[in-house]
Amino acid sequence: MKKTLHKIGLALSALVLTVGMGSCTDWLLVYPEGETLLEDYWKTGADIEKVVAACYRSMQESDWIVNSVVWGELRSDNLTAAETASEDLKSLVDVNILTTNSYTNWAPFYVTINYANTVLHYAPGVMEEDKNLTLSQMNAYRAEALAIRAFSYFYLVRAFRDVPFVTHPTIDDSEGFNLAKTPGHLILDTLIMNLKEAKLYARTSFGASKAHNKGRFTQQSIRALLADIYLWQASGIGTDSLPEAKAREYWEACVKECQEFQDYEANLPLTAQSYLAEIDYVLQDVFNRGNSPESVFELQYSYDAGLKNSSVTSLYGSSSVKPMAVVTAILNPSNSGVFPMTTTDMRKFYFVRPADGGACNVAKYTCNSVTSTGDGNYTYSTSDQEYLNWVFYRLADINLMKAEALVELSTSSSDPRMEEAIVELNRTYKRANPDMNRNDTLSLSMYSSVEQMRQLVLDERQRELMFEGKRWFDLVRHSRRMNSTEDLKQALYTKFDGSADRTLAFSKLTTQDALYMPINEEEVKNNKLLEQNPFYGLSSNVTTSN
Amino acid sequence: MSKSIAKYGMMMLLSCLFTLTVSAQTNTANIVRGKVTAKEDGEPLISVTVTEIDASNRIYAVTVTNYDGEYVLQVNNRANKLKFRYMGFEDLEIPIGEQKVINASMAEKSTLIDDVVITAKAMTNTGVFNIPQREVSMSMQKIDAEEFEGISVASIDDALQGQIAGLDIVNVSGEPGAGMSMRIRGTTSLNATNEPLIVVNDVIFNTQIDADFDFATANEEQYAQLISVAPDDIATITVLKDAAATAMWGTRGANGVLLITTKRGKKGPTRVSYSYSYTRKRQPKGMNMLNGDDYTMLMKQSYYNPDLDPTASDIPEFNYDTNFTEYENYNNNTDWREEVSRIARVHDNQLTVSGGGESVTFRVSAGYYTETGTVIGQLLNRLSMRSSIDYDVSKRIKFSADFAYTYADNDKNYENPLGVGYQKMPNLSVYAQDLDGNDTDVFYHIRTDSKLADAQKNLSNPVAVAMLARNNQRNYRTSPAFHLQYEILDPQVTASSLRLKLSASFDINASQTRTFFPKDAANAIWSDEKKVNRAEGSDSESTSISGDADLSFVPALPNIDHSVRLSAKFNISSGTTNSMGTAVAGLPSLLIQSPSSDANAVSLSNSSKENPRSLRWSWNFHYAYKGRYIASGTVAVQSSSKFGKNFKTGLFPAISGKWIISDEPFFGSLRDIISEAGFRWSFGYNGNEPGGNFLWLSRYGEYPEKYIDMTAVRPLNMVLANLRWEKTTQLNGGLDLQLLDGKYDLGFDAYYKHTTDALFNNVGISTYSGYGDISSLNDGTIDNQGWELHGRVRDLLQIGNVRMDLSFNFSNNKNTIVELSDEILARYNKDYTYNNASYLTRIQEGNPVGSIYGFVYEGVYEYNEYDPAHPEHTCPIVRNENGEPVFDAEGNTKPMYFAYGNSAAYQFKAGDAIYRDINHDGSIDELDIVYLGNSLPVVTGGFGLNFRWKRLSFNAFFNYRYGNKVVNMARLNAESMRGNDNQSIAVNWRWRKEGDQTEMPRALYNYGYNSLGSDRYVEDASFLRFKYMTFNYTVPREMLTPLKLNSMSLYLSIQNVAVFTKYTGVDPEVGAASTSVATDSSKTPRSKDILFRLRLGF
Repeated sequence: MKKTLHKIGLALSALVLTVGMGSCTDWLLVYPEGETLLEDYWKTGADIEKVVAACYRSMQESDWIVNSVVWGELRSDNLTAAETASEDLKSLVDVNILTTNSYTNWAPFYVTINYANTVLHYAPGVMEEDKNLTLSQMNAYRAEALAIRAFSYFYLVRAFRDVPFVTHPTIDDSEGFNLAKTPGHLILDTLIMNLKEAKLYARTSFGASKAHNKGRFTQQSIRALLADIYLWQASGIGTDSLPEAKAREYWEACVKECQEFQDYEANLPLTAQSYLAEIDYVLQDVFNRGNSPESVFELQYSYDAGLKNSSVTSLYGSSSVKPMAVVTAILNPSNSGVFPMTTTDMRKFYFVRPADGGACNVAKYTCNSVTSTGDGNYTYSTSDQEYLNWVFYRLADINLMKAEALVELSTSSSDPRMEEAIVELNRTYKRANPDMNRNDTLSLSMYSSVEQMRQLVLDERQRELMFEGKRWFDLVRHSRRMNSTEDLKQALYTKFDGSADRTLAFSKLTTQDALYMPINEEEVKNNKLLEQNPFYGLSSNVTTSN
Repeated sequence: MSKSIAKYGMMMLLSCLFTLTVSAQTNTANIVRGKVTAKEDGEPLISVTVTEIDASNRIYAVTVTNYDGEYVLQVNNRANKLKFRYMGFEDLEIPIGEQKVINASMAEKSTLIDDVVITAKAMTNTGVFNIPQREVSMSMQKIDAEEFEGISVASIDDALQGQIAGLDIVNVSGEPGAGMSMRIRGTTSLNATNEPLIVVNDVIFNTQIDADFDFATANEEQYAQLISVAPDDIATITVLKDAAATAMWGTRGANGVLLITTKRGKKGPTRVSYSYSYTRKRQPKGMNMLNGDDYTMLMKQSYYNPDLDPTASDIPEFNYDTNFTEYENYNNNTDWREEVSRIARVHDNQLTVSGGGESVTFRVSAGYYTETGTVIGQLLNRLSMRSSIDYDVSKRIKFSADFAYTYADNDKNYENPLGVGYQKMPNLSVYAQDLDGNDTDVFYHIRTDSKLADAQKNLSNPVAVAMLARNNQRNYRTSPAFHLQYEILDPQVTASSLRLKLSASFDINASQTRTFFPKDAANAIWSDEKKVNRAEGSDSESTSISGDADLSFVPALPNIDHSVRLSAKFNISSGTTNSMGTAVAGLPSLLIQSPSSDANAVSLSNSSKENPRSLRWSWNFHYAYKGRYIASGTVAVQSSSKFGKNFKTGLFPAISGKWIISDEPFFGSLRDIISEAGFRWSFGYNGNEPGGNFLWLSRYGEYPEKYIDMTAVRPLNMVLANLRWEKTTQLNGGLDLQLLDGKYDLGFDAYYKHTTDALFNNVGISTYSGYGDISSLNDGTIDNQGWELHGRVRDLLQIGNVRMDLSFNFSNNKNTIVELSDEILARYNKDYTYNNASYLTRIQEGNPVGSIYGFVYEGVYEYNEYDPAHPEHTCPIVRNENGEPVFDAEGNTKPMYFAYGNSAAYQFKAGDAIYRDINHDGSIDELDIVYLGNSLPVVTGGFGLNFRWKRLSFNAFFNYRYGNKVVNMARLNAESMRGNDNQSIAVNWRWRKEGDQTEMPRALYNYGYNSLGSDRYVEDASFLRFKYMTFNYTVPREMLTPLKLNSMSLYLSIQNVAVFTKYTGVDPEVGAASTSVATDSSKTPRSKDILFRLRLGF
């Protein structure tokens, strides 16, 4: 006994004195539970798909959707901040956007971009690990990631113009995280290149699942995105000193994309139904039920997946939630406003819904049906659905983008492209004006000049796509092309009713730079190479040095 | 490696148990009796210990002699020896053989051993070696728990306050169960913890802190935790201050170490002692607040003033209009502070049983502590137990086991009722009143349709919240530890000692928090999901296991001038932490208060599991030549699972030396005055690690929701490949001095602490990375330097039988942020927000942390217009450097603005606060903000006096902090006159009409800038607190004999007797989080206590 103890003692003493560190390193490798490590990830095609899914999932974050709508719609003449909205939203609407405003936060978009970059970085390597993964499958995932990344950057470029452009994922803390802005038009050029590649590899369909076909990037939705980017690039003719010839190339490319789109799905659902039913169909099917034939790309929410679309509810309200965005007087059906020539336009009753005190709320996404009481009044059935999809692109948008490009390409009133544009415009216009002569609602005789047609396209886009996060970008695109903000100010004239507000807001909106958002103060602080956007660099909020 | 240790450990344990069983076997036939006498005079010796031992001194049987010196013993083996042992006599061993009667005659020890030898043997445990006190070359200070016996504290840190030089302890809150914040030698880290490492009986006492806890800005209340060791169980506390002393603790020693040793059993008859104490606590009165009538008058003016509009002040709640349906509820004079305060009572029971024989000693204690707080709704109950057993298996093997258990049940307030009490409108009634003004039994809440400011309207009824809402915290902690010590070299054969000590210790800590906020405690309706009928629960459980092997070697050198001690230590530790939280709201009934009812689950808020591991080796030496040239050194190597491959292992060397100059021959007769003088120096490295685990790994996790039907997985974090520990280098120089034969005992230390690779948490980065921040990164350099002096004078006064001792300490620390990268500075320093009641938070190179910046307050504008006839009148116009008005081209004065050109711009009027326009640009803005002082004290410390007269002793202790500034936010809020919150009576002196000369601006409802962060609320919080005075009377033994008692002591103690300070708030003892400034926001102040205590020994 004693001897044994003695031996053990000696052995242990020797151990204490001599044991090296090497043998214990493994013991010190502790791994988290319930999570996978990078080393063990990226082994199969399924691993890629899961991160692609995360890209879409990250777009569902409330900030992502809300910010995209605030940037694209709240600043426009369609919507204004409700009484109960936050101070940040109110000052944004008043064109008094401080660099501390929470709606300047672009982080959610970069989260998506980082996930997409992660897919693009690791997906090719999976080929080595998973022999069942084919090159075309892998490239299809890459195409989705490229499209998602382009889509996110496109929002940033439209809202901020120049932003930091990264195409590699953040894996560790070895870099300093300082990066200067890349000019917006250069970013978009790269995106066009990426999307052309993506279009080659993208899936045309994900099979029978409507949710997958409408909820993920397919060739068709990539065409829609490309067309949109071409339009934006072409509008640089005014501000980015884009040569006329180059702009025409973009417009032609836009027409070509739209044409390809239409050729691919020749059976256009826009004209498939009877008139009155059609506009109700838009409200019910496109925005309420979701995944309509007309839809091109929409973000999917479902009870089964478990995530509620709180963004739409918080923006436009529901039967129990007060909206933070309300419709401006200009779209109020009781005013003549935006529908001057179209007293018969049903969209003013179907997309807008009267609320208390003579004000109006958004009907898209919040109403599931509208019924005429026959005396010129309508009753609205509001829904409280929590799992509504959010529509980014739908067929009407394609028609109108095509019309816009055709008009811009037209050199004179007799240009045949003018006629083509009228045809596109009538697709949306006609179904919303059932009481007019079906064969001749909008005709070239009424819009004889290119300028008039241009205005018509702008108006029709406003009428059809109101509250879908497009109007402000349409106005900015128009201002860029015209190299003047006069039309934009004209459009916003009635939104700023108090004359003092209008003077102040208009004095700011005179410069094109004011059409973009400021970069968040924190962002500028955390990135040495990042310069504040031009209009906001000289704000009174001068940072003092130590 | 870990397995083999565990295996050997188990074998050792088993073998011990085996030995125990062997010794229990008996042989009934072998009985030996005899008589023990003294050799000199043949007198019988009483209570001589007689033991049967074998050749290796293992003990088999024990007995003691009776009154006649006789004994009877049943022996196990006649081959063994009998050993006789008696105090003052030489040990005697007699082989048993076949003898039945063994009489022994014992010789007295030579009594030549004198006092000098004993003082030289005063040993101290440095955490590494047990070395003579005088040979300690590191900076450490030891205190016996007896020093503060008789005062009542829930946790030992309270008793330590002011006792140790260089240990700054700040009371976090006067609430029961609130801990203390401790700093040894300043703030070394901006983001990791600054609390010292606590080691109880050589085992690290882990305080549990969330990984994502933000040390930089968090209120200390959130992490201060009671040290769950009953103060009565503590024997000594040693505070290790410099790097040489703390280096062996590797990555955890940078903030200093508190070594706590608990009391253990002593050989001798079993002793039982019981003590009971009763404490009555009273909260000091804070600010005097307005009564309902004065308040109503103030509100009227406050609403009227901004636009001079009488209709603006037409608020029904302030109109005394009997037609107003709620009239009776708004015509009162309620002192809310009084409503929520009460006298607190503490009962503390402690029972201890200790004793032991020749081979086994034990001590078992149990305590029950119950405290009702000074604020209604607070109740702390704590049960604690601790037991220790030491068993000498043989001369060479010693086994000991410690077991501690603590259970605490703490009912806390759901919100801070005292804070709310200061804000709540005083004209409001506590209970809803009927039309005749009689109280009903329903709590009154302001109606949700009231037009009062939201801040007031939604303020809860503090009485209702304290009575109805629940915030219960339960904590169970069990910490067993086992030690086995083995002398590898037989001490009977060689004088050298080679000792192996193995320890295994466990710490199991479970805590549970349950909160419930009922609908009746607020004005919200029950469907207001987020707020009412809301139940939250969180559970956490942590287990840590630590294994230690310690080999020490003390060779017996032939030349006695040299003495060497060597040791090698190895520690392996591993822990798991699980935590989970749930919240549900909108529960249908008050009867369902469990967060697990899934009816309306708001969220499964969090769930986490972590298991950090670490390995630590340290090699130490201690060398003394002639007892006066001393050198010690440590090299520690630590590896931790918290870091990536490149930084897993760190090296922490330290070296120290001492020269006892007084032992030099040349010192000669100086020794009559200076009995001992020694110079110490030390140098070493320490570390501090970040809170988070897994930071160096790239983790992929699922989103809880799918996209369509696809599982969505994404990278959760970026890899922190560069993360490493915060490194602190420390240089220490010291002097130990004993004068006049130990009458004066002084210690002086000066140190310089240099922290590099400082840790920063959640550093914001450009979000283009896809991440908002980096959870931890190393950057920057922080210095701390200072000096400490502590001393003790024995018998400073001696008048007749009265003797007086004095002890004192001073310490000074200066903190400097030496260098930080521009990025960190830019990310830390937010822009000025132009808001009232906010101070600019800045970190600046060259300045210390905790610096306060703000405007300079210069009173109140008396008049609106400049009157050339009375240039001395204050009015809101621009003045130049010489104080002369600035005129424009037309000869008009220029108005004074706040933040001119900014959206927050405001033109000052008469009655508004005057802020100094430092740059004379006519606009008060961030360019006029100046440095106003620092939250860190210049000197801290304490001093105590001890008087003894016969059986009565009197202790008085004072502690102080000097030179620190505090932002009195409680006063700012009580003097801002901006909202509907109640205000202090000081506002009765407010400016009301032109020409008023006052320091108090006018009342402005939601308007103006009268309460900007300025020096008006930055106060000097220096204080001297008469912390306690204790009377102790020990009842003479003669009186106790009839009562069959061994001892009896009575204590009377008054705690927090008085505070001497210029600070206007209720308590100047306010700590600061590491990067924010010290802010007093009406926490529960430290109470004034009277304690009575009785201690009985059986």
